[in-house]
Amino acid sequence: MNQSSHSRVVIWLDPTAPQEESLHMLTGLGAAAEILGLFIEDMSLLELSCLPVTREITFEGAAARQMDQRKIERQFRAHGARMQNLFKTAAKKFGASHSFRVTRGELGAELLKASSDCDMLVLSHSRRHFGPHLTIRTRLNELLTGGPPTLVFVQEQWRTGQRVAALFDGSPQSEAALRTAAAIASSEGLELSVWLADITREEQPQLEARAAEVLGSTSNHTFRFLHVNTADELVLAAGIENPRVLILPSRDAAETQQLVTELLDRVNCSLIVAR
Amino acid sequence: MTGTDNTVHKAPEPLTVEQVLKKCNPAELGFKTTADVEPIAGILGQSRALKALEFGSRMDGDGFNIYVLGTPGSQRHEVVAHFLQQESATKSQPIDWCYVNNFADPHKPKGIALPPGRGAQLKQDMDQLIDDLRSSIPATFESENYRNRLAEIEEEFNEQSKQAQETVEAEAEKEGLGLIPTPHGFAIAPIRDGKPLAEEDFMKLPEKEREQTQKAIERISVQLAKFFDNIPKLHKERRQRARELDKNVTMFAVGSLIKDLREQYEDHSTVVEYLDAVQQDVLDNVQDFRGGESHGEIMLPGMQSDQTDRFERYAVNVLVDNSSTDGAPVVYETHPTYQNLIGRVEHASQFGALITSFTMIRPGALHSASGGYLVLDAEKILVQPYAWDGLKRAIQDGEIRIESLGQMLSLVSTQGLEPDAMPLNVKIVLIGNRYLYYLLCQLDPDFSQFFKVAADFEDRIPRSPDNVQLYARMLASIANQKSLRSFDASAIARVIDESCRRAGDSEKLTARMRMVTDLMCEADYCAGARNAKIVAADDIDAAIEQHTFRHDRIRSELQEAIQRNTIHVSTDGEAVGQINGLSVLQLGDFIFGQPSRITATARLGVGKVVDIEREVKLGGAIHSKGVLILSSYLDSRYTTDVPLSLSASLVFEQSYGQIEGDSASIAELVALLSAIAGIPVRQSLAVTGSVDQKGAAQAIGGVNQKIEGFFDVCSARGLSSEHGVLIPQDNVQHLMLRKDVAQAVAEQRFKVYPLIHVDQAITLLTGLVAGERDADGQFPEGSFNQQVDQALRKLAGQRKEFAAGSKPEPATKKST
Repeated sequence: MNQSSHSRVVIWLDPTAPQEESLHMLTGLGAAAEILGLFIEDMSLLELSCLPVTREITFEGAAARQMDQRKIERQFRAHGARMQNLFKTAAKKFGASHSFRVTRGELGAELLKASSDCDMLVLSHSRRHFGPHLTIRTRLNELLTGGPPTLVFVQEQWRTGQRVAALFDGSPQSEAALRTAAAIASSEGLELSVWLADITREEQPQLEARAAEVLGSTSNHTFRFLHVNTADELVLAAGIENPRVLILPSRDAAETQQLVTELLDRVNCSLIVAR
Repeated sequence: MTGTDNTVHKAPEPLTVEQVLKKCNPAELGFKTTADVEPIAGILGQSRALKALEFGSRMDGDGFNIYVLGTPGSQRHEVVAHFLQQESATKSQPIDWCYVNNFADPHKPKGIALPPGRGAQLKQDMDQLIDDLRSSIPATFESENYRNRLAEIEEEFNEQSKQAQETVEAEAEKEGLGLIPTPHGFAIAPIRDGKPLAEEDFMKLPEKEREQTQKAIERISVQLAKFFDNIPKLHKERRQRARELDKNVTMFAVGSLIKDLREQYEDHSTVVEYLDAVQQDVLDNVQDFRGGESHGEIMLPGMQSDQTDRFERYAVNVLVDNSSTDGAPVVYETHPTYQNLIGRVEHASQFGALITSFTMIRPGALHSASGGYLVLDAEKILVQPYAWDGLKRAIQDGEIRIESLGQMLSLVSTQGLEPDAMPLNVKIVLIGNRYLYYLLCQLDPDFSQFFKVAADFEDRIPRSPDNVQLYARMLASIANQKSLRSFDASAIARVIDESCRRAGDSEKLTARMRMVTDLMCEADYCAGARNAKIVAADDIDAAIEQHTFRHDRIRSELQEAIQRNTIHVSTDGEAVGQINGLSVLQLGDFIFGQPSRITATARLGVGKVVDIEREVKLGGAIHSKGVLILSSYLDSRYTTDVPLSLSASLVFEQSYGQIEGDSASIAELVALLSAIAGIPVRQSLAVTGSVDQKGAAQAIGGVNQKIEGFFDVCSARGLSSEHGVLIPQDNVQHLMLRKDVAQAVAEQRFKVYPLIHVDQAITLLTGLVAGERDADGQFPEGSFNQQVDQALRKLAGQRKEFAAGSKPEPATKKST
């Protein structure tokens, strides 16, 4: 565990996505003063179950069935207990105080509410499982504008890569992103690749010097020059370098939302958005 | 000559000292000390056994194995070792034998035969191959090329999924519906402004619209279900393609490495087949090579590393490695248990369970000796449970099949290994004693079939002048091999004398060289004790004396008992029906003689001679036979015209153990005749020798010890010129008496008389002429035989009178 860089971290324990990767990522992000495991009982599901026409299609059965309120309640209890166990087991590795909370409400609102006073929100995301999280996508803009300074989207099997990549443009957000990237690289014993973007070739040395200044004694790093900071360019760079984690600085919320949405669909690595 | 041919047997002259001790002349040996003698390289006097060994070792064909017969200490092991060493050098190295994993059926390991040295090479090559694969396969899988190809497969799958999903989502959106994720799938619900419609809002919709919405939901449900149904197929296809990619990538890493090995072993089809199987197994289990991670399993103390397990199946267990064998192997198995012969499959204990694999197959002596010679001690293999059966089975089948005793006897029910049998081509050399050989011939029908060659070692070597010279050189070789002091010629001559004595024959030398070697070592010790640099004859005498002293406690006690008259043995005067017989006792390797008082009684009876020893079951069959011969002798020699009408008994006085042999039959006959005729017998003489039905003396064993036994008694009481021993003439050639006895013979203080016929013994023991029948069939008046004849006739008369009802006269004389 490295030095603490986040005072309060919230991890959303989503029963529809694998959580092991998120929890592992959390241990690699450095110690936090306090970690909150959050399980949200999605009100919309309860509401849906009241609609007589609503049908649920399950992955395994692939048969349409009427949604049942009692069954939804039972699922909440069962999944909540499972998430709590999972979190407690993983929390022993955190080395920080931790707590587990169950709330009921609308997902986006509850996420915003719980992460209002935290530094980081960790969310699981699986490309392998059908259907990226609708709510998260629809609420991404709100999270990027009103959410915590750091948003983490953990991809399933993100551990296959051998590098940590950080997009650096010299902005304060990108400096924060670079520091987070250095912490992860050091903790996981990975190489740090600093992607310099939105600059000309002439500006490159200056930006490299600034990045080196931010990194301080972190020596195991390389630089990659990107012409433009677009999703295509980032997907191409990710295809070449195969990073385990890509850390992006957040600027314009709409632009970042678009970028994150595309990257979540097109790259294998986990994403961290630093505001 | 017999008593019936009317030959007069005169009393024999006593033997000369030269006749009782045929000493080796040191001057004839031709050297001063053994340091001057060239050691002998060959083996003396065993040409029969050597010929048999030569025949057996070179004769191909089933069952021409060798049984080496001989007395312990007769250098059988040394001779066999020396012979096989020479013989094996002329033969070529046998094959190597390895066990490898049978990937199709792991509990039946495959055997591979390879030329000598190639087994170890294959092991090395396979170890190297696995090392190479462990580094090259992960490297291949970590290459950008592999990652890109895998990412392409992933991307293709994601695209297919996404397209299908987007199609359903678009259809749903057209109908005003949305897909909302649930923990187990998706819910399909009407959506307004990006949010699911609340129940009350839905109920406010016109019924027609509600119905349309419901139908749309059902339609989308079907589409979504169809999509979900397709997901496992997509996953399967993706996994299949990923596996194919893995296989192709592995093949790229494995193919060239295995191809090189295949070329190296192209002449060995079994190895090529094995390499093909290895390649297939690596392709099927590439995950084992890809990562160093232990898959998160918990390692407990005593648990074998999974890393080790994973690659053990590619190991080569070289059971027989002849890379450094020179010629054919010669294996001596000193502890021939079943497992040490046939080999075994070891097990390792892991958490209470016994596990094994082909790497735990261990060779037996048969494996190591295949293509060469296996030397075994017959007695040892016969006492080991199932070892003899296992050996015979291997010879019979011509192969070594490793089977655990537990499984063979159905004592364990766990699944064991059934390795391929190794072809067996071995010459078995069993070393054992004669008794065992003949027992096996008689009792084991397979024995003669499997051991067709008998190499019979001589116990004794003829004492010819040439052999004496060679024997002396052999003794010099022993002194040299054992790093003993040099022996001077007199010492060697003395050893040769002792060798003859131990052979029990003045014309033979013993072939039991262990005994001779021990004597030489002990003499060397004696020489050392007196700080001599050369071993002399006195040292040999001292060694013999000390050896005797160490072993003759019982003999001394018996001698003492005789001196103290606890055991009655008369050495002077005369007695009727009493004579000194001689017997030998063997305690381990120590043999000594002892005089025994034999007495006889006779009275009127029905012609029966009672052997008291036999009656009480202390007499053996041969002894009884000897006594029955006496009856026959009486019948034929004396009252041939009247029935034998006596009842006589014979006994070894103060004898409490088993008596066997007929060597006392002359003594018993003389005692019996003395009792019948009432003629006293000289007690200063002892008699040994057997007699036939016609009175001829026959040779017996242990003659030297018997004479010495009586000599010791007489000597302790004071020798006179009257003391002596009567022995069969045929035993004169066996005489090698002790120095002190020979000395007394030389000084005529003790005499040894050779007997041809019992009449000679009668003359010497009674001082009477025995007497032969004249032309009228009458014995000379006053002769011993005439008196016996008369006494018997008198008994016959008495018997006749008794039978007619008159009171018989008292019986003739009785013995003591």
